[in-house]
Amino acid sequence: MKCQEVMEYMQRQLDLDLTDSEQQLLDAHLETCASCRVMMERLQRLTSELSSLPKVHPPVSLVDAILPKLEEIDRARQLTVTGAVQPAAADQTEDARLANRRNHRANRISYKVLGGVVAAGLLLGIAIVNLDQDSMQVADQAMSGSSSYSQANMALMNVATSSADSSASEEAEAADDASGFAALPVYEIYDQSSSYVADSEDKPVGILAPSSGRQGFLGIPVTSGQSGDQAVGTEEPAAELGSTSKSAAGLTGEKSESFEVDINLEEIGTTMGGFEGSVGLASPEGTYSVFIENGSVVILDSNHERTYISQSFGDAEVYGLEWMDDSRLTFKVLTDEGEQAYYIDLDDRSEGRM
Amino acid sequence: MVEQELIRSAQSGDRDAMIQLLREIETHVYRTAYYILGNEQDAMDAAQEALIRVYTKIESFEEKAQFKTWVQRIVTNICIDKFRRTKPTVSIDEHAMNFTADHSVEEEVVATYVSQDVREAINKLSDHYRAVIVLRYLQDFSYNEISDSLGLPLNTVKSYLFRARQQLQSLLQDYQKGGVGG
Repeated sequence: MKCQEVMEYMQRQLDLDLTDSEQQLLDAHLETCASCRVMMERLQRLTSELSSLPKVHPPVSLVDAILPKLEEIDRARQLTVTGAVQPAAADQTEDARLANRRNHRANRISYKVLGGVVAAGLLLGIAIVNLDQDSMQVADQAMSGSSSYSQANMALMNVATSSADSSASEEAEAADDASGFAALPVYEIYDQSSSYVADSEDKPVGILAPSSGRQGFLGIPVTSGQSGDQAVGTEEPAAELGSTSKSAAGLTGEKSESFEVDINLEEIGTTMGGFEGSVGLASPEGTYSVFIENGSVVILDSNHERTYISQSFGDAEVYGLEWMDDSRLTFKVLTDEGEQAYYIDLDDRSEGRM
Repeated sequence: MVEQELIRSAQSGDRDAMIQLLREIETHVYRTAYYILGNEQDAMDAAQEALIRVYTKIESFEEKAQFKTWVQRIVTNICIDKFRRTKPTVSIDEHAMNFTADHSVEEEVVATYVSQDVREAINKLSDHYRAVIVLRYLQDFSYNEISDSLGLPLNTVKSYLFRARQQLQSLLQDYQKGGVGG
């Protein structure tokens, strides 16, 4: 028996993996080979050292430390599952409070602006044929310059299909009382997508995915009042949006009505506060849509339910979402070590670095 | 060992069961993270992330697998993927064959390695070698359990474990002689 072969026997002996006959072979060799005997002793010493490494315990309870985060996850799930409007939780986490504070300004803009933006987005599609260049510039400003004509037209098509169900109702009562609500980052959303589309009652609001040209949905619950047959508009848009909204409405000759989007902002705060990149990007076949939330990539299925949530990348910037095909997604993460490309494969539900 | 019943309850949405489950595994998760990452702060971060992932993915755990290997797979993946350090590790072959050299038996000094030396040596191993050593000695896993946890073939596990131990003993030998430091 050669020393080289004996090494494997020695190693397996450490793991008590030898048969009796193999053990005998090893013992016989060790009796005659001082060099291997020394090696065996060393390895045994190492093994005993490794076995007696301190059995460390976490300095504080890790579960206690993550409880607030788990509650956040629960709330986000609940929002997705029920789409229900719930009162602000009294025990909101520090994170949620920070998110509220961070988005306080957006908060103040309130529903009126939201309504205005929605109306502007919807009516832009209607108005677009007649708009001259100046009007388009106004519209572009209002929409952060990211919308394209075709997207606006898609918005129009959605209005056409859903306007019968969309509702117009009284002015949002809570519009001036934002204290109990987290923020809805209206402009961030607008940077990424072309329009909200009001659907029937208690349905998520759809957001058009700009890069694919298909519809992707976000779980934004909309509770509406009684149904109306008119395309929705607003009478009180924010000042900087007013001209767009009003001129668009004027051009189309549609009757403007106030528009209530009764969104529970506490809920939205937990799901939307973390939007950092592309929003509601639909897969090529439209089976899934994806967005970024709290440093994780979240994928919704065709029922708008969360079907996959990636690992959390914490504070690292997650961006560059791109569908390779209908079940495979790539994205990038900016860490201290630089940009890393990641993938998610929904077929075998795996993720990892590329 | 974690009760099967507890896992089922957690999977069916029993939040108290889920939290209890997390409490039962947190030390095991932390211990692996601590020895792979080599410091307390990173270990805390990685272990928390692993626990959150267990929480969010518990539905995808299938009973045909062992829960403890499923959990260790999560934590080792996080440690290796996300917290991979840039510091250089000993190359796989550098120390592998040292034992074949003709050591003079007279030179051998029987001494006890101090625990710190062992930890330093572990930190010099490549990620996968380190993970194998940690699962073998800190989690007391068998070859098969390590194989399940790391998603590596059984023979690869053995080969990694054997080479890792060779590297470790070689590194510790160097420490003893006052040779290769940090």
